Amino acid sequence: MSNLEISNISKCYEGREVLKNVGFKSSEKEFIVVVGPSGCGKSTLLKTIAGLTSVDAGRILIGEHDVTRSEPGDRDIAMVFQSYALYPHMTVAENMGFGLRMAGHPKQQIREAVEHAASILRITDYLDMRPKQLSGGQRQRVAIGRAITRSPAVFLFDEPLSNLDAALRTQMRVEIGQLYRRLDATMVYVTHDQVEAMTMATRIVLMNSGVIEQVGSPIELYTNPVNRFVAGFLGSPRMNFIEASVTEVNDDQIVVALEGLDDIRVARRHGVGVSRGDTVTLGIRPEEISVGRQRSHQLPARVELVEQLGREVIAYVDTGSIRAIESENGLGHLTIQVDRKSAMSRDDDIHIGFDAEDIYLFNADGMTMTPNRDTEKSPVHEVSEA
Amino acid sequence: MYPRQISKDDVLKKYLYLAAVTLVLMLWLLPLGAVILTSVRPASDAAVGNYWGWPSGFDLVKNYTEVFTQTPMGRYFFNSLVITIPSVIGVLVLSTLTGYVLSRYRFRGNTLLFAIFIGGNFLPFQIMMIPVRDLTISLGIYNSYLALIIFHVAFQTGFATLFMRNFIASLPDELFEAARSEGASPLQTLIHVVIPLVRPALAALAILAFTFIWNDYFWAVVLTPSDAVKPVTAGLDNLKGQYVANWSLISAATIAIAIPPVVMFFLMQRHFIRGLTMGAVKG
Ligand SMILES: Nc1ncnc2c1ncn2[C@@H]1O[C@H](COP(=O)(O)OP(=O)(O)O)[C@@H](O)[C@H]1O
Ligand SMILES: [Mg+2]
Repeated sequence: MSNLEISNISKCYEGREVLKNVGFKSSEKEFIVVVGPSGCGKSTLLKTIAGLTSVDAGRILIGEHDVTRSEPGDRDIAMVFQSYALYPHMTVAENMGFGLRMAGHPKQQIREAVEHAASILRITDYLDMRPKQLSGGQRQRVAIGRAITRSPAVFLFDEPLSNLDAALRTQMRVEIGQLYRRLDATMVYVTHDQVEAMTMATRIVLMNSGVIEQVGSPIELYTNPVNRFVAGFLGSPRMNFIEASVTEVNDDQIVVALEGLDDIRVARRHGVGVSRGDTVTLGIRPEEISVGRQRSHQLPARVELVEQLGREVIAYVDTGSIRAIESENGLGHLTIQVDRKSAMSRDDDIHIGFDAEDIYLFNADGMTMTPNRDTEKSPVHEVSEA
Repeated sequence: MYPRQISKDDVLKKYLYLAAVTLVLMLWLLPLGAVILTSVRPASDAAVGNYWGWPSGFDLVKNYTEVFTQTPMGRYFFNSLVITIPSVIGVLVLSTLTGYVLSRYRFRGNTLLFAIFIGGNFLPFQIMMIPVRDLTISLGIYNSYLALIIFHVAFQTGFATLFMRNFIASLPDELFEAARSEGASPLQTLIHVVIPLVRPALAALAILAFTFIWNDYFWAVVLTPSDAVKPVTAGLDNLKGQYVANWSLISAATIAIAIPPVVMFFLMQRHFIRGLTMGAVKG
């Protein structure tokens, strides 16, 4: 029923490959979030699934049917656009019933479908209004309602929340999640916002310049990124990356050295190629760094900036010779995220520490060299006083 | 782009501007005023050379009635309507279709086809006079309504296509994608989405085409020599020959001819709705 299978899709625009061999498959109802930076081909992928863009190679299956060459209207999909794309000259009810009306369904049936969708989205009061009389959030509801009316097997969303303000975005995020649980349909949801991806997805498809980097559940991608791009893309604040060199390699361990620190011994992913003297990237998430001296590796640091977020504190610290690459503020500061109770202020001299087991290593090609970890383990450590 | 507003404080400039506008307007309207005045004069006024002075009497009803009772103007009027209305409809239908296809569908030769539509506008129609006349004769439609209708539609559709193509191209892409993903056929999209949204453009085009076709003199003279199918423009010329003395009657006929385009403007005006696409795609 809600089978969606995309295999080896490629798409060129003016000789430039925008999608390269993209594929994923879902055989049961799923909330798939396609996430990636702007311009990586997410919308193009969604439009190929919708049938609005033809593919150069590959196959698309929806339900039991090969729809690679079908018209959008014959694919059992409904699309929700970032810009809502409501017909301005029609009322909300007419907008929502448009698809069914074009398909020649009887009036009574259209009315029932529209009223049903409207009641799910709580927009029954607006049915006689025109789009321009509605707020952004209401328009987005109508656009979603228009999709529900046709009860498709697959819903396609293209950044539906990015025109809304922050509060409304959070609210709609929850509502779309509820909608998903209520409907018997697979959703493919495109966004550049990793928070939306982490919170909504049952499965994330993470894209970068036309290729899929990794597919998996949010916690899987967060805990076991296959490469540095995925590690850096998911998580806010971002993972810290530090350049380091390999001093010793054996079958199941890699030892890297950082100036002023004891040797860091991390587990080696089975079969990964590495040799002494290699330059690697060491990655550690801000929440894995704690303030104090209790971790296996410690170093002195100076607080440069503190962001008090209420629930937690994000601090940017200068660790002297150890510089973060591609750091959040571009100054080479490490980002740390600690409990709000940790009293810290600018120019404080503190000690920060981390455990070797929380370290990720990436080789020169960005591939992860550390083994997969248990996703059950809570990623956040208890934080103790400095 | 817009003329800059004159500041409120600059009184001298403001009055100079007002005076200049008034002067230009007067010069512009003077001939029209004279024609209107003449159309209500008794015929004797023109005979004694009273062109610009106060009329010696007011024969408004008499003159205008006579236009339709004493001359074939009624017939010409009817002919003009029979020629103009189908032509305008033809132009609107064709240019909406061509504009829709040219703006929304990529196909080989799209640009070339569009260029031909535009290029056609640059051909001076005087050079086509003889070929068009010969063509209508060999088609057997010379001296008929159909001849004028066909050629008016052909000549107006070039510009109208440019106009409609650009207007339809400016509609948001997402509306078309939405319609297509909801299973609407191209024709359904045209009827239910495009046409309601280009109504202001169609109204403007209707006025333009109507005025152009109604006022055409050239093709009327070339293609319809007989009174039975002649439109008002060519007919007015006839009037001059037959009633050379009666300038009041000719003036009245002239004013009567000018009325339909004005009526057309007011009929179409209500379609000029600002921001028809508002609420379509903006947050
Ligand atoms: N119709 C098109 N013609 C040419 N290039 C396009 C077209 N649509 C998208 N692209 C290009 O394809 C790339 C991916 O675009 P898109 O799928 O919209 O990215 P995303 O949605 O991830 O931001 C971009 O570099 C964009 O410029
Ligand atoms: Mg996009």
